[in-house]
Amino acid sequence: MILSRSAKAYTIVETMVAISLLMLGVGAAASLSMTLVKQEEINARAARAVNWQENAVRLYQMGIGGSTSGVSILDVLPTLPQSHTVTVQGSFESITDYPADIAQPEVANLTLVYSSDPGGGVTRTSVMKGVR
Amino acid sequence: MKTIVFKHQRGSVLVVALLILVAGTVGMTTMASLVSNRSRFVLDSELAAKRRLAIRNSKALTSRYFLGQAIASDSTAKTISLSSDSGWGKVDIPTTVSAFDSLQNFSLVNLLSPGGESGFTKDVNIIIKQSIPYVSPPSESSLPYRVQLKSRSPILAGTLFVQHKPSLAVVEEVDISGSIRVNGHAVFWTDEDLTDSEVGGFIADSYDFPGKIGVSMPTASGGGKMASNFPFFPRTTGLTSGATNATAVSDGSFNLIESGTTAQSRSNTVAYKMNQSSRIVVDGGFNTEFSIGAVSGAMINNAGEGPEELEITVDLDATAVSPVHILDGVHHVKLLGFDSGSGDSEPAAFIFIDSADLETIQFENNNDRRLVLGVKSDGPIVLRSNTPLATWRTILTIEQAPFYLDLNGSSLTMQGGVRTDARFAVKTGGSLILNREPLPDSLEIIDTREAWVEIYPQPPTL
Repeated sequence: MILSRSAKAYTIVETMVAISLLMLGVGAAASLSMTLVKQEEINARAARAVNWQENAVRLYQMGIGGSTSGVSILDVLPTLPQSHTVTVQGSFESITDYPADIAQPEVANLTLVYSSDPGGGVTRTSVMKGVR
Repeated sequence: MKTIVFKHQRGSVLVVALLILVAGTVGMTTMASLVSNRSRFVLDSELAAKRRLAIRNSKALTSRYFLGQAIASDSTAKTISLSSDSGWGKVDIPTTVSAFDSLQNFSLVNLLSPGGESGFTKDVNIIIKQSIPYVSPPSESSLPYRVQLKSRSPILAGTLFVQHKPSLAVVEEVDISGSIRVNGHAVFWTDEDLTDSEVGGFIADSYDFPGKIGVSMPTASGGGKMASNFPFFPRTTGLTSGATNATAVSDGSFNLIESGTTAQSRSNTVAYKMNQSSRIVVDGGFNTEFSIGAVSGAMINNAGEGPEELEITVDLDATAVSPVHILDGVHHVKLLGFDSGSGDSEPAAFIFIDSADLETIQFENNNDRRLVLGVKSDGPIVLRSNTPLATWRTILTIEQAPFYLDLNGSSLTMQGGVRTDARFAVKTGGSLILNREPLPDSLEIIDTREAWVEIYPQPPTL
């Protein structure tokens, strides 16, 4: 069988074009991967924050923290990253239709401010309520 | 060397490159999909956490509501909710009636139903509502729950000795002393530390200090016994004077004898229970001896000096003993025991003493008739028994008054139990033995109770 010269291999032009296209694809994939990794980091931070915050509110509901407890919620839970801040604001909030002659249950707003972005530039604020 | 060149070599390279491209694309798509789903999962997990917390908040609201009401009647249906929580955890509560009046036996034996075999409940069906996200217009889900307002006499349930928190009128220190053997459970609501010398002669099968950890008591063998640490959920005996919130009504203080201006504060008192039947009322207003049924009055002055003192005698051995209410001016009460050994077949006796002048109570003979005895006084009271090794079937509730048992070196066995919110002491040489009442059925209704709240999800309607 006789093959033409050009049929034996790709020309340098073809190769250069192919490499360019490949680099474009690889670059796009790399960029997408970086974005996905960053998004996954954001997800992980959010999941940890929600979990931590729910635990904190459950501890409050169980009687820890606040003026009537000698133990702070922050003493019981794992330490938060430095970029996170938490405030537990106990109060007696108004309760709709609750009898006026009965003292209100104790309510706390547990506010967690955490950086959702690995770079620390973006913060999210999450508020959860606990009644006890 | 000759190179072998296949016919479709260039195409093959292209196919391989495309396959790699496809594999890479699939991988990237999979990763993007996973991350996307995880983002959604995290977003929803926040809602799930909020839903879980909202249900617990709703239960806490409901529990506080009923405890704050001292588990009493409310003629208005209502929907309670945190005003600032955007509809999460609203609770629909229907009209309710006092749990302390309930005669409905437990339909479910759950949580810690002390004793297990009996007790009362008032069931209330509530609806906990929650927001449904992602719908327009905003909507709510309804979760049916059953609140069980349970009540029972702790003494009849096996807690034979209960020391409550002192009422404000008590100035003496709350403590126990002397030889006391509790063949059952004991509960101490007091905040004070009981030193070894104060509990040295107190021995119970088990006991709880709801507000304390690491307390130990001596045992018969000389070693220390730790508190049982059973789960101690909030419970109440009803509203006490000036106490109108859930913490105050479930802190262990009580007002079980009399008083209270509202139905809620009266519904669990000895006086209220006694009002259910006709009774004989006596006070210190008599100046000649008298006799009404099983009750008689006399003037005595044992020392032969000073003014005469008034004594009321109740003969529990009489054929029928009406409930007896003894008021101010009476100094001494003498109880003649039912000693024929067939007390199970006799109706229970009910005696309620609310005399600021009361000084002594005298037990004579043994007593096989079931007796509910409530005592309230301003000063110390001394209980004496004229019979060595006497046995009395008695549920004794003492309010405000320090109580001393002077048993003249002997022992008194009480089948029933003791509730007090003041000092309770057995004088040196004597001993008190508390055993459980073997036939509590009819007493369950007439003895004062403690009540608590249990909340359970209702099974879905099919």
